[in-house]
Amino acid sequence: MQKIPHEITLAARNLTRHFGNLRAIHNVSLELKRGEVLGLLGHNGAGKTTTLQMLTGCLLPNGAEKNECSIEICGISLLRHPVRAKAHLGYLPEAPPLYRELSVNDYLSFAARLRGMESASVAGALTETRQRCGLEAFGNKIIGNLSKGYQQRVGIAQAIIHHPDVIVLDEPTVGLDPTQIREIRALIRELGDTHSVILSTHLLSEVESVCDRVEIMQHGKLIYGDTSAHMRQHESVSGFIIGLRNPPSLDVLEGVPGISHVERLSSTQFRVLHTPDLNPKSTLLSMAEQQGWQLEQLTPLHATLEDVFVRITDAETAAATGEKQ
Amino acid sequence: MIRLLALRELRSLFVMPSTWFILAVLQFIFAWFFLARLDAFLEVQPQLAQLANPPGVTSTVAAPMFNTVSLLLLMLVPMLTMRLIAEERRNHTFTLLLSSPLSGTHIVFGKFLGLLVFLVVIMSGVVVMLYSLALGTALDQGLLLSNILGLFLLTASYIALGLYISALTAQPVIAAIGTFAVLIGLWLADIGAAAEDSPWHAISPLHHFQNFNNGLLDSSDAAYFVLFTAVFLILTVKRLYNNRVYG
Repeated sequence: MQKIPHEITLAARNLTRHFGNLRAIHNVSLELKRGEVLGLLGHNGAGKTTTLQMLTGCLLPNGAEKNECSIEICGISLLRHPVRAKAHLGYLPEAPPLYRELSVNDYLSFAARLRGMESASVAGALTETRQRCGLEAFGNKIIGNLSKGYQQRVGIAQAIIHHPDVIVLDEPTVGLDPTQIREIRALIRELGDTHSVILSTHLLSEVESVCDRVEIMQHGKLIYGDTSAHMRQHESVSGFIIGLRNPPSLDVLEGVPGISHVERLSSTQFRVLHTPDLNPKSTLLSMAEQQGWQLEQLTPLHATLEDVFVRITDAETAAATGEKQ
Repeated sequence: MIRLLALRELRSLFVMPSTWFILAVLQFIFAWFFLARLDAFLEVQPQLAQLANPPGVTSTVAAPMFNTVSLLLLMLVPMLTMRLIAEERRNHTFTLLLSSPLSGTHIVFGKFLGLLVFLVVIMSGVVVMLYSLALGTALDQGLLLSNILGLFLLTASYIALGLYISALTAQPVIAAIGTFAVLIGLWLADIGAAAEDSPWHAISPLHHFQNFNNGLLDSSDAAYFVLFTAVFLILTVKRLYNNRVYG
């Protein structure tokens, strides 16, 4: 199979889903390219899991019969040819789908065969996947006897054993310890180079460390989508924290060209905000040297994704309540 | 794919100690009943020999034995079918099947055949016991084969019903009780209807089995079982599809 870089592996259009009167998902459209890791971010109950269930064919979107929406996996319509389309999918649901009475080897070979792998190539894939997920020593263990973290790994292993084009992971690092989280994130990053990965999470650090692109969900709608690097700059403040052992008065600092606001954090530390186009850092440094302010710290302010996320979701909530009134 | 799913069903069954326990206990009960019937037959055999056209060992031992097995199935099948879909839902393993390249028909037939094979293994114990009589006497092959066919069709129809009820719920216990209740209801409909030509007889699988049990091969009985099984298998496929629609 020839792999064209940046080909679109997953395209979903106008997904809507109601549960009774509750509108769980409204008009969600997603696109995913090969070699891309997409993070689906949102509060609990924002509709992340429902979206992923629809993308994997476990749940049909409303209006599927009337062609109001479409899901294409590698160009094959999931709604019209589900069997062919699902062969390109690997899915780890919220609760890993493990047959607890089977051994890891039996289970993984079953999962591989189930996804249409030839029995001759299963053995090789099994060894490779066990090694990738750190399960080398656990091949003959019964899944029910493994710890939660290892069960999660088996769950990830079943999603990737057949080399699917699209890997869907629903909160893959839940219940793991910090070392395991780091290993799994490295694995996801590695998978993202050759496959397309879509993962849902409410952990911003996860998005920051593994995702190329972020889509934020709230109340069943996608409210923001961009690369994760861009997202961090979204409405971010430019400024730094400066520590001076022998500081001048606030007025002197505020007088420096480009500085818009100075706030005293302690007797020697100040938070300095400046306009985005003019960075007064070099001016400040030379002044500190000339006038003996004794510089001891200069840390740029980084907006964390956390701040940005809260800002975006709050703005959306405010807009929504504004509309209602 | 169907074979793969059926094999997985069997593997999951045979790695559980409870399965082996059920197998052992059932064979013990079958053997006990078989020996009791055989004992009774040997006691009355001298008197039977004086009759002009005496009933043979097949109709006095084998036929009642099959009748008992058909009643035991009533209790056994719900315990096994409850696991099929309800337990997979509860253990969240069903999503693996739903997100795999399988159609609903594959899933339903895989599960149906897996359990059918398992029950055939259990039943084969009975058949072997009865054929051991061939060491000492001649057997009525026709009556035996008609009973074996009847029992097989009866098992298939029970599994199809249990599979459907298992697809309705995520609670294995409710699936078991539901299947048991329906099967008992169908049985009571048969024995409760006094009139010989009451339509209630027609809906009961056990009534249709009676003809096989007496060595009477009637195509309408066979058609009943095939239809009964097919209807519930199709309903299960529909139910799995509706699950994706209604969540």
